[in-house]
Order: sequence, then C-alpha cells, then structure tokens
Amino acid sequence: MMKNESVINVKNLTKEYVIEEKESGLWSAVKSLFKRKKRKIVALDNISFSVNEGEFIGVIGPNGAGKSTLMKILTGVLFPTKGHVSVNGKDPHKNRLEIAKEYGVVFGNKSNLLWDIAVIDSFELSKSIYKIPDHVYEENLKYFAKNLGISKLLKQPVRKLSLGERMKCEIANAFLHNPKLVFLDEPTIGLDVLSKDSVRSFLRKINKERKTTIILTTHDMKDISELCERVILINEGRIIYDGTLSDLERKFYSKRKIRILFSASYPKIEEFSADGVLHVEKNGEEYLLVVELKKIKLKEFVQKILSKYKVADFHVEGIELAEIIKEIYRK
Amino acid sequence: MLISYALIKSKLISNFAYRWESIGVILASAVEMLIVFYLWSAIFSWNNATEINGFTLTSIITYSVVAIFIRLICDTVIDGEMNYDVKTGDIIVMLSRPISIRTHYLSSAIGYFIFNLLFKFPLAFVIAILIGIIIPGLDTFLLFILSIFNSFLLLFAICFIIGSLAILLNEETWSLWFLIDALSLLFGGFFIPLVFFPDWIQAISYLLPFHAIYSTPLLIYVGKTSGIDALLSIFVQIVWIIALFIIGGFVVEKGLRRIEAQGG
Repeated sequence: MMKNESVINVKNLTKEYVIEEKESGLWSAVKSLFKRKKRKIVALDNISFSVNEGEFIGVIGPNGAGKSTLMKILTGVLFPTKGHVSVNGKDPHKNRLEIAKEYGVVFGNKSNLLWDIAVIDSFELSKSIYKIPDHVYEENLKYFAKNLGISKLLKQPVRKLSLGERMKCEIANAFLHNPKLVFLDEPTIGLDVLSKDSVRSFLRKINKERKTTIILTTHDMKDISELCERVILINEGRIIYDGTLSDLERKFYSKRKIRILFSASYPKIEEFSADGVLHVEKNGEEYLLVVELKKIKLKEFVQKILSKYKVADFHVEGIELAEIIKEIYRK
Repeated sequence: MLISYALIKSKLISNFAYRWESIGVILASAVEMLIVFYLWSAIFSWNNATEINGFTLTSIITYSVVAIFIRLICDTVIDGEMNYDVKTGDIIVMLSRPISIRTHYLSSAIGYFIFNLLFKFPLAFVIAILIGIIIPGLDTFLLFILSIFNSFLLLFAICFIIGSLAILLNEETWSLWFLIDALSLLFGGFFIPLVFFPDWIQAISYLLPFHAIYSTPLLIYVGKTSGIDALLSIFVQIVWIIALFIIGGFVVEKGLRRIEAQGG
C-alpha cells in the first residue's frame, strides 16, 4: 500500500497529560492555592495504525481507554506528546483551521448546533463557515431529509428536539460539506432502538454511496457489528486488537452457550462438570452451559446429554460480541 | 477572517428568541436613570448651584443618564460565555471548526451588540428623553455613535482577556469581571465625571483604558470635547482597542496551548 493513499497515518503516537489533582475538603482547597499536586497520565501509549479511504472503522474500549483522546488528536484539537500523525497528508495540529474544513465531526455529548436557533439556521451557519456551494447544500438537505427523516425538525430550535432528533441533525450537520472523512465520537449514546437503527442505516448508506471514511467510537457492540468491517480495540492507551470484526470473533469465539430444558428429571449441576465445561448454571427449568470448543467436541457432547437425559428443548448459540469484549477488557 | 457574518446573524436570531428577558434589564436601567436624576437635582438645590466643575444641572444629568445608557448597550457577555464553554468542555467543539476562537466570540459579541442597538437602544433612549436629557446636534451624535462602538470593542477586548484567562488557568474567572467592572466605573468616570476627582485619581485614570470606555463618549455627548479633540479621543480609544486585542490574542494562544496539552 502506498503511503499517500491512506487518509490517516498514525505512527508511534503517545499522549501524556499532566493533571492537577484536586483533593476534597476546604483545607485542601486552600493548600491548592499555593501548591498543587501534579500527576502524569499516559492516555495513549505508542500506538500506530493507518486508515484507507472509504473504510468504516469502529474504535472500542472501556471508559478512559483513550478513544476520545485519539479523536481529539486526529481532529487537531490536542497535540501529541510523541509520534507522528497525519490526516489527509497534513499534520492536523499544525494545520488545525485548514484541516477542520476537510473533516466532519460529532462529539456525542456536545452540540455543534446552536441551542437557541432553528436547525436550519445552524445549517445555514455551517454553509457559510465551510463555504458550501448552493447546489451541494440543497442536494444534501434533500438527501438528509430522505435518509434521516429530519425535514420536519428543520424549523424547530435545537433545545426543543429530543436527543434522538438532535443527534440526527448533528450527524446531518457533520456531513453537510461533503467531507471525505468523518469522526463520530459516541453518536448513538443515549438513543432509543429506533433512532439507533435509522442513524446506523444512514451511516451505512453514506459510507457506501459517497466512500466517506468514517471513524466511530462507541460502547454499543451492535453499532460495530452492523457497521464496521474493521475494529480497533483500545485498552489503557494501547491498541490490543486491530483487524476485521470476523477475525476478532474467530479469535475469541471458541466458546458456545448451550441452553437445555429437561422434560423429566432435573440433573444436578455437578453431573455436567468436565474438562472444557467452563460454566454451568440453572435458571428455573433451564440449564445454561458454557463450553470451550478447543477442548470439547460439540457434537459428541450434545449427543451424550441427549442420550442420557430426557430433553424437551435445547439450543446452541455463540457468545455475543459484547461478552467477548467484556472478557477482553477483564484481561 | 476577523468576523463571520453568518455567526453574527445566528447570534442575533438567538438573542431575539430571548428578547423579553431583556425588558427587565431595560427597566432596571430606567430606575437607575431616575436615581441619578434625583441625586443630582438634590445636590444642585442643596448648594443653590448653577454649575459644578463646569457642569450645569441638565448637562450632569445628561452625563449620568447616558452613562447608564452606554453600559446597557455596550455590555458584552463574552467572559461568561467563555467561562461556560471552558467549564462544559464545549470549547473543544469550537476548536474543531474552521474558524478561530476569537472570530467565534467576536462575532457572537457583535450579534449581541446589534441586538442591543435594535432592541434596547430605542426603548432606553425614549426613557432617557422622558427623564430630560440634552439632545445633541447630528454631528455630535454621529461622533457619539462611533465612540460607543469603540466602547463596545473595548469592553469586548477586556471580557475576552478574562475569558481567555479561564482557558489558560482552567479555572472560572468570571468573578474577575466584578473587580474590573468596579475599577472601570471609578476610573472610567461613570458615576461622576473625572474632573470631580482629585488629581491623582485623574492621573491614574489616563494610564488605564477605562476612561476610553465611558468618559470619552460621554464628554463627546455633553459637548465637553468636540472637533479635533473629539477625534483625538476616539483615536486614543482605537489605540487601546489594538493594545487590548494584542494582549487578548496572546493570552488565548497560551490558553489554547494548555488545552492542546491537557485536553478540555
């Protein structure tokens, strides 16, 4: 891969913060007037990756892992302590105002739209700030009205919108100037299922149709499984996985859940204990077994149970992505 | 780009959304105008004076009422806005836009100033006329308008420095405004003209920018400075505007370095 083909290039990036510790209590507050305790935090620790045009990347990790710091460095808001970052071939920090025209961004818990004015007035503001030509602007308004269903919201002030409605407008605003690159920092946070669905289908569509490169952080694994082909997993400032979603699942996906309903006798939990059976629990009449495929042949294991006991119903299922991630975080 | 017209327009629209809230502020100013009217009337009748320090009763009432008027019109709320944006972390959003932080806040302040001119100015001016101020000639009035525009820019520049200190120190600084405001009322000749003060206060006041905010447009309005002197005093305002903008630019740059290093 040629180097200049990638939209984002990050090499050995490290970000350290020096934070002031604020202790509780009045006396500490008085002391802090004269002397402050400072502490160094490593938010990102020597990370490297690159992103190609048109990719849809999900960045996941527990709270405080460094996801938001990474987004702020890529948008040029923060500068790196060490390492090299380039966005569209430029250093985002040194060219902050210039690079800001080339990307769109949504910070999920902040608002880019002005609170007191109608949504359409905020869009007009973006039209002027990003110098969007009339025909592009009109075309995009139609596109967003159709694909996000926001045409009825345009004349309302932002403060009167629900969170889901507001987020749809925020996302439209981020895509208004046809950016080739869009950062979405937790765009689905706090949304209901329907709003999430429509946001996801919009993002999927625009990524396909316009080849927009999208970097998304989220805590919702459904966002990842429905949208992102590639996942970057960050924990404690380090990238612990970078690759396709299916590889991630395969890598951590050697476990199965077996749910069984017995019709006559209820076996004791201990009767199932064997090498490779990781977990057994009984919820009312239903038994739940978690087995490790590397140690147990699933077919034989199930046949043994079926022949030994009277079984009314059973099914085998995979472990959900969310649970895989939870396990990785714990390690 | 020093200002963004679209942003000014947006801010103007949002201020109009809250226009009825400013009625309270206008009424408060009307009450203050009444207080200074009766205060000066009492002082003059108690002394049986026709003139104090070169001011007649009508001209001193005009001076004090117009002072209140200027404070109503030129007030910017930028220091509070910047403090709020630092506290909530919204400052990060500003930095992700392709306009500079000063363009953002200056446009916001101008939007508010235009709202004040369109909404507060006519209402407050009618009240001032009812109280009985002198109406100057057109040329004086135009110079006055020019000088209160400069007063607005001076107040903006000071508030911008206070707001930038909030970015730099990552602490709330809006209470600093109360100190600066009090100093500006004294050394700016807001309550009483500077000639009423002892020499040393007058000497200090000319070393500070505050006289350019209040004293300059007020002396133009009541006709104490006119012609070349008026233009000269407006020139002094512009020098102070440039100086304070440079200081503000320096502090905000330092503040942005801190954000870039430490985050919100």
